[in-house]
Amino acid sequence: MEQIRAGVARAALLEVVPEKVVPVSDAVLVIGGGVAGLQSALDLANQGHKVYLVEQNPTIGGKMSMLDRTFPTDDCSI
Amino acid sequence: MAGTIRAQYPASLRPVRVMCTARVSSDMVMRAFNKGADGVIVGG
Amino acid sequence: MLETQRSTNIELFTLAEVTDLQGYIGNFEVEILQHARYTNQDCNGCGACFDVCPANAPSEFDQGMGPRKAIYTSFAQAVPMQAQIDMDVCIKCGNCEVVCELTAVNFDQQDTKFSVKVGGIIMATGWDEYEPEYGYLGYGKFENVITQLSLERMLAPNGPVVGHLHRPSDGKPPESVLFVQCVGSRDINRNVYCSSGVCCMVSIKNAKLVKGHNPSTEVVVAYIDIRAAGKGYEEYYAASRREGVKYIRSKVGRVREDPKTGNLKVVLEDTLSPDKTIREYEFDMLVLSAAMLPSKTFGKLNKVVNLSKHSSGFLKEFHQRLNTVDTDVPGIALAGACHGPKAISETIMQAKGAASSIGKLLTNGEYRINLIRAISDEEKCSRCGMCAAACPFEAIKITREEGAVVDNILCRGCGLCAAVCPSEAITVRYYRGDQYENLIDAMLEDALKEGGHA
Repeated sequence: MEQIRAGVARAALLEVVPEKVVPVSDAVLVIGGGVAGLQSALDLANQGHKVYLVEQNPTIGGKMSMLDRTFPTDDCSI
Repeated sequence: MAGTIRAQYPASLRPVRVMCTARVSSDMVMRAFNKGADGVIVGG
Repeated sequence: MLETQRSTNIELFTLAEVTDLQGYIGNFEVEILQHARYTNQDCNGCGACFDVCPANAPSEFDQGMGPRKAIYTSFAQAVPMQAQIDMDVCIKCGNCEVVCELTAVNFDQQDTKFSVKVGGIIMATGWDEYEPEYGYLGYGKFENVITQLSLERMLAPNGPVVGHLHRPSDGKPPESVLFVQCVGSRDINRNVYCSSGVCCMVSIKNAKLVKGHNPSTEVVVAYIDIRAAGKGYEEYYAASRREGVKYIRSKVGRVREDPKTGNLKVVLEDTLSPDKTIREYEFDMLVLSAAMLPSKTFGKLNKVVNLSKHSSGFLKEFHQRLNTVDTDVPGIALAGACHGPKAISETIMQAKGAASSIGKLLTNGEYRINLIRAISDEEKCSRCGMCAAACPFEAIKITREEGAVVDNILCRGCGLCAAVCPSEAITVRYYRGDQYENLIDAMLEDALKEGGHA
């Protein structure tokens, strides 16, 4: 009972909450060029978005490129 | 929280939802005591 | 990797770092520092310069086990296929410049800085292997104690020993190998967390590979628990047992080296044997399954991006169960091991999730923010500045004319400012002070009637 009464008492003072609409630049920054960064960069690029991929090392591929075989399929990782 | 972890609490407890526990001012606590509350629990 | 380079929608910056981040969802402004590579785009990685370069350094790609030149590509399939010069090692003899037919070498290249505008950001900063401290389980002290990542390089056909396993001290193929699990993880003195079973699976895989190289090698795994939780993982584990890999549930005690042979004497307590035998075993080689840590350079980057971290040091997600892809900053999503230790399959899953989360935002072309935000009454405001000082998001500025001014983008509507305001001038829309007053009063109406008994 008190809950309902309290809810109504508060609702009596409710107001319409305005919305703010902000534009969105159609580009994405991906920080890191390992398996995670490459997969998300490719997915977004294939959807037609512009991707900036930043990698600190001279090459992309990350730790994954150091592995010969990966579990559980024992296939080559590159 | 009490709901999510399915904790039992007494029926005499009256919850007041806030956006953040930081919103709870001393004015609010004092008002509750003034209006007859026996205690106030601030929980997040 | 090649697909990434070929994609016309991806602009790839290697040897680059993010040095500044401003703005908010939909409208981030990112400053990128591009380090000089000292070769231009004409370089096709032919490698003629590598042969004439007199300066050597240990190869990072091969965990320091093999050499590279001062002008080099990290490995044969590197993307982009373009050499770079390590100026810490280069002696500036100019041989590479002379031999290059494409005149691609340029010693005068400078670091450059530029800005890009993006709508969303995906964090994919990855992990680094925990490096055991000197002497822990013999690491660093005894040559034949290596970590898992070094073993990976040894087993790789493009690695320093072209895939033929040799132990470091004398180059002899090992006859017995011990894998030690949970090095630096599940350890209250180092890292409490479990690296999500990744090191378990890596050990099982590498144990199988070592066994495959030479079936007469004795391969033993010393483990606390084998965490083979994933599709097909348990079967993979069972297969390794069938192939003859031995598993001993034990924590490794002491590791000593036999100075004559370089062999390692390891004390193991077999906790599953009926009498809990403590015995000293001898192995040719020890492989430490070291924990996964957040990337070494992440700390520096996070001074710029300012995301919250979990107690383990990995990045915090929006919700540990219901949303493990987004962060609590709108417009920034997580992919891969920056969020926590995980295997490749889970990394791919999360990366696709992050791409879809950001993709949705970009495709909409606009973002709507519900303005449940603090607002200030300039008549009541005394310009004392307590709200601005209290705000955890630095969303409030005090001006002489309008009093407290709230930035609707930075404000999260927590209401801390409303709680500290001495003149009740600032409050949060939808959760105003008088609404709370009404709520509390109505709730306690009966309590007063009953004489203070709620």
